Amino acid sequence: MDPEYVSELIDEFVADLAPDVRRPVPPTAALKDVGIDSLSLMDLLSLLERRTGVEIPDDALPEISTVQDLLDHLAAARPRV
Amino acid sequence: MCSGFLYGLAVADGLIGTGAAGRILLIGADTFSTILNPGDRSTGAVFGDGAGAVVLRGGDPAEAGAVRHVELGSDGGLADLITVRAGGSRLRRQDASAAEAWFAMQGQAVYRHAVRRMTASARDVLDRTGWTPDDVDLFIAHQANLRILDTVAAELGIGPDRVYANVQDVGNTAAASIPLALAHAVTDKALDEGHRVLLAAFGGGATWGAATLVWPRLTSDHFEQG
Repeated sequence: MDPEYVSELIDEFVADLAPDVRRPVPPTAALKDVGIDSLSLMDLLSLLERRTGVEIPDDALPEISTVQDLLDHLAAARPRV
Repeated sequence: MCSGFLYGLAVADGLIGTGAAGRILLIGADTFSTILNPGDRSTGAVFGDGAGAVVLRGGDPAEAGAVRHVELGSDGGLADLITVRAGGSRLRRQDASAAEAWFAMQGQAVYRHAVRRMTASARDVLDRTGWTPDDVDLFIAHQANLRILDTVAAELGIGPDRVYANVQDVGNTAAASIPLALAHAVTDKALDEGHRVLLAAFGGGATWGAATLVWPRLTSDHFEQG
């Protein structure tokens, strides 16, 4: 997984969702502060998993609150079956 | 409940296929307003009451109107995703707290499982039918929310122009959602004779399913909308 590619995807997603949020979104940013609520996070995860070909396990979801958490979990994720 | 129409379709398909019934009126109807907690914003604003129906009869599998394949799945291990805990033999309504009498769902987990199960089920039923996603003229999924519909379609590789949605007008009407969407698609002229249609749904249980069919020619005698 290429973190730069994932960061670009996240920036594009945030641009659509919350155009007023400054980009690039820093890794330390809390997802809720860049307009990503619990339902939007599911949209973003679906998009990232589809584009990167990996799957984040459901039990990791409560641990994802920042962009960096998302990058870390994607880096550790297994290929989709 | 949300996959109820597809479960009904599978039963009707089987009854007609075995000759046990010649003609079946299949009604999908739910009144979720009776089980929604008015204080729960995650469900109260999402669901609606509705009813829809189709008539099924025996015929030639090659003719327009034929149900081609139906695929069902379930996993009782996911029973806690979508619940109304009270009202059955395990917990009688008079013994339940107010919260146990309301509908409840785990939104994030439902989203994830709905996307995965509907996508896999749709792929299976397409394979069995001998269709690819490109062959589908219209994809009508259970109208849970627009984002789940869009995500499943993206996973399948079905473009947004071939996805029908009326959830923005009627909400999630549970078992009524697919037959209502079929009716609205006809009046919107999105669905016409000979169209190859893919249906998919996910709901409580957890249960899910998908079906393929070729839409029949309807006259005004066949079609009514209230």
